[in-house]
Amino acid sequence: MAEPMKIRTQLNGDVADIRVAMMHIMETGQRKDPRTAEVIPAHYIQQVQATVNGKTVLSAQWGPAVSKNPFLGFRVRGVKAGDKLVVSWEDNKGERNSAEAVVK
Amino acid sequence: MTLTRTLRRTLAAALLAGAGLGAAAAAEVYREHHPRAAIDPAQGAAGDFSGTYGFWKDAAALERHRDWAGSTDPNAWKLNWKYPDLVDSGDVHAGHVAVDEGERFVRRAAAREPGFLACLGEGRNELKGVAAGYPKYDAKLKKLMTVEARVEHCAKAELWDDVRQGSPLNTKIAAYVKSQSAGLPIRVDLSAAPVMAAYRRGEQLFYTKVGQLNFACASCHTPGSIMGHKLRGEVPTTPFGDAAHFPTYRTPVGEVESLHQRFGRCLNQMRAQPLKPGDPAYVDLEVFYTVLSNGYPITVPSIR
Amino acid sequence: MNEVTDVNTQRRTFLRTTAGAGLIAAAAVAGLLKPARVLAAGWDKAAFEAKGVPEALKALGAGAAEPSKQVVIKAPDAAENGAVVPVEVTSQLPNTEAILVLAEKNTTPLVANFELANGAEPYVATRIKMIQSSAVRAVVRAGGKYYSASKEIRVTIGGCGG
Repeated sequence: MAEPMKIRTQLNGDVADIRVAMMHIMETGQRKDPRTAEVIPAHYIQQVQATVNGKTVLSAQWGPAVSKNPFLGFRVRGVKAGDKLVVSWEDNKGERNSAEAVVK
Repeated sequence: MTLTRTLRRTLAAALLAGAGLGAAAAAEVYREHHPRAAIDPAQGAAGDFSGTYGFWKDAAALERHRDWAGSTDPNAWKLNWKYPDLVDSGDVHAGHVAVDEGERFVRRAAAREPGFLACLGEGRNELKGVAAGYPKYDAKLKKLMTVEARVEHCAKAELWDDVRQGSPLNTKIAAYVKSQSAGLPIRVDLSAAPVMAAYRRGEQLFYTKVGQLNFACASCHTPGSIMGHKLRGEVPTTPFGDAAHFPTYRTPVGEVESLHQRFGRCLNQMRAQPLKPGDPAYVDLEVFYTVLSNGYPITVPSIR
Repeated sequence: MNEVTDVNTQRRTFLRTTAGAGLIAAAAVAGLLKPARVLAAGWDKAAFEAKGVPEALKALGAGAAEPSKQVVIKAPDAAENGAVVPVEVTSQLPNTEAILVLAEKNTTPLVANFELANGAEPYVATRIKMIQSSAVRAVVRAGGKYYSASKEIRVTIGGCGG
């Protein structure tokens, strides 16, 4: 659960370009284990949220078709160097993770 | 279970023997070989026999045909899958996460046991530029060393820790060590006799047909082979330049994998029994492949 | 109402696991609860489990989405690997509030729903799985109305083999 996350920010004027790599299996629940022929239970991130200085800028809902080890890119206007960015997720099993970055 | 395991061992032994390593058994195994292509090891990546080097040799070349990337253009294979490295400066993916994890392990271990960093750095407490000279011959250990083998060796020698090649941690640390040479041209030293000998053995392996499909690496990656043409919906590219971006985040697998793990997947697709990461045959093949990347800059972390 | 329940559940779990940690734990609880509260906004089960594009859009209230050239999808024409298809969506529509991504021939087409707020530009990028060649559709909510665009992507290897 405490898998790391990587956040990269780049400031162009007052627009921050933010890229996030999350580590998650993103199991669809549609695959079968080739050895046991049993369905591998779904396990995927359902909700993602990003805040800048505590204010929500993006809240997303995901299905299992977001790729394994998800990538998320977005841009926020009105951001300056030193602003605090927090990205959090919660998956269908209730596991959570969050990471912080300072905008550079 | 036991039967399967025995069978596996036999197959692995057969593969090795066919590669000319198990001298005693070699005579018993019949092997075919793909015709040799002309390769001058002294030329490194620039000696690419596919005629595509001009399309992937540097950022400017890749920029010129950027529109081929991810297109249905039949020329797309000529970019040799090097265009993901172009955007890497702004990208972020599991390869970066792996490098971070590798770095964290190295720092923590070095704080506890400074000898670990000195071992990785071959005497220097510094990893910058170190990986560019790999694989190399270690005269003290009397062994050919890949970066992954060095990681395993140093963990055992300095940390009394088992960080075996092919394990996720070994690959992450190796990715970190390689990332410390990112942008530097690869310079495998062929003037060292054991390295040249390994190159020759690796070259032999490259042309040796194995597995149920009787394929060699060369069956898909030499001029006049399937290279540049469709195979199962994909177009095999030149083997030149490939070693430069390993370990890489392999999106079809969803894991960061070393070159040896990639060899294993190739062998599976060829319906041959893969060997264990770190196997001497893989080391020889890695020497051969890395010489084909000599002069080309290391691009780790990377995504494929 | 759900929101409150969720927060309390998490709080109880937290307190149980850190029993006796005293004031420090209490301070930490305040900090830890913040993401949980917002994340408990809910997950649109009906939309994500819908088996077709019209059903998914209907579940989202986006059934009447009209085609728009102001919605731009950037994705490869051909993806060698269906497990990782890069998709970027940019909206040039004023007051863009949300961006939805659907892969038309996936078993359940809705891939993601991004709600934008507080200065977020009308742009998102992600990587998605596609079971086979099909159109990728982007639906944008702007000023309470829905607009859509689509792009065909040829997938060589399906994205469900892992």
